[in-house]
Amino acid sequence: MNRDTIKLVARPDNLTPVEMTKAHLQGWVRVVFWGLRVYILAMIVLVFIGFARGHV
Amino acid sequence: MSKHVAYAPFIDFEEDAQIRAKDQARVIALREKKGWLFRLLLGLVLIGPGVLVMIADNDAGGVITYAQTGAAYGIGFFVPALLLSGFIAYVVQEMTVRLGAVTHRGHAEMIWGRYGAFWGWFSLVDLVIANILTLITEFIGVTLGLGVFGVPHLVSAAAAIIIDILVLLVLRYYAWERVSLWIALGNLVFIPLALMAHPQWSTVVSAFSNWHIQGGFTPTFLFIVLANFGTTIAPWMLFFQQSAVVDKGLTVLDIRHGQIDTAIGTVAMVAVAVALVILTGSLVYGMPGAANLDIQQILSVLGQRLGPLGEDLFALGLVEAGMIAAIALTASTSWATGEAFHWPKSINMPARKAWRFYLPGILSALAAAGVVLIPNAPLGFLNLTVQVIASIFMPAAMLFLLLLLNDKTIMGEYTNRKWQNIAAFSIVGLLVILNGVYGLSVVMPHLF
Repeated sequence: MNRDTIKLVARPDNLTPVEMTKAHLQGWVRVVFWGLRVYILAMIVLVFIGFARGHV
Repeated sequence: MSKHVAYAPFIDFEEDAQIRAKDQARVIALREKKGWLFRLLLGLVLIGPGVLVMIADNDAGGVITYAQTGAAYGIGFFVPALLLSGFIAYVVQEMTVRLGAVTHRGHAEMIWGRYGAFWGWFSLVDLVIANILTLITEFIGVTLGLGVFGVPHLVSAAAAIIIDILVLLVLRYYAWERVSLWIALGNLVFIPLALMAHPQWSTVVSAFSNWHIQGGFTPTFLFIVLANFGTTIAPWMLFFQQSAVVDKGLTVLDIRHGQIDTAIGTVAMVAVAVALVILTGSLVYGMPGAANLDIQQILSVLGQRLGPLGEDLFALGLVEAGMIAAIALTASTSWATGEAFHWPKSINMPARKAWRFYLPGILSALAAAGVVLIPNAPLGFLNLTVQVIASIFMPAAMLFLLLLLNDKTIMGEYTNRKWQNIAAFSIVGLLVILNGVYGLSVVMPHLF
């Protein structure tokens, strides 16, 4: 046994990290993610305009 | 046998988990004892991530923002607005407690794992850039504050970076948290300072009824609103608190205490923020050019009105605000990169074994400290850039949080309740509207 590890039988509600799989985006969630992309792009453009015009 | 804890039938604990197990044993022992004293001790042991994230939110930039807000707008709109922002901060941060306690995974790890590499990289890059820029303002705050006592900038920057790095490297999570909490206590100095200003309490009370906006709804007012909301609700807070909850080893049994911890932190944060607005709203507002004073000028005015003690206390508060935020931000960067790249991700890990965990945080702090030593570094511009990045990033960060908190496969019975979803989606809506109005004011300023 590796000296650096100990083995315990852990309770399932203890510190076991939840198993993760990639979320399957569909329906309104998919639409929201596309909206997020548009929002981020729009904000970046507006911020550049703001800096260029000296509004900030 | 695999050492990846998520996929082994038996759990292999590494060094950090051994230390965490000892921390948990302390909690379990206290939970089993009866009596109000042990309930209190349990609460004190479990307090931490919530108080730290909220107090660190009153960072050097926040202190400067609130002080300038009070100087420009007096005791009016922003006093009740800060209470509202405190409620918003609690709603958001409470969700990270549940997410961390249920999943035992950090925020960066969850975004990467559930939504893929694109959003993982987007979140990580935004967070690290914003953290570095914010760290710059923290170290500037420390040097400004210590400058009041005649300490050269080089010395104060060096001292700040040494403390920041040592606290992270030498202490294990529980000790790191306790030391940070003691530093965080210094944030409360602004409350007695506000009392020393002898504010007109009738003005404070009437601020809640009339929400008066001095000068009306102007683009400048909008920028100040965005700056205040941006400094109260920042994306790094989501990552920090969730990672701290995980590193502390909180479980579903501790969610209630985590909520109380977050509530206590919120009350302290709002109290300090309101105190700052009241302080400068009482002593600086109304002076010629008050709306355009920088923090050094505000310090000078406080020195004239309150005497050397007032100026010194404010300076010390500024140093503390910069220091606690630097500690939190450095940890936040290390946790996020560790989680994203499946490196060690715990403050319990010794430096020689987990150098990849500590290195990003340390490098970010060193980079920030280096910029601070550049003469005439544009603090205002840096502060504003942080707010701008946060305003772009925050709706995305909130969206991921909401999706995760509504995911039954992850959260089980701990998903958001209806009122939490209503509140959280309203917050996202508010942020999008504020940013949208800001965008309009940039492109079509004649409308305002």
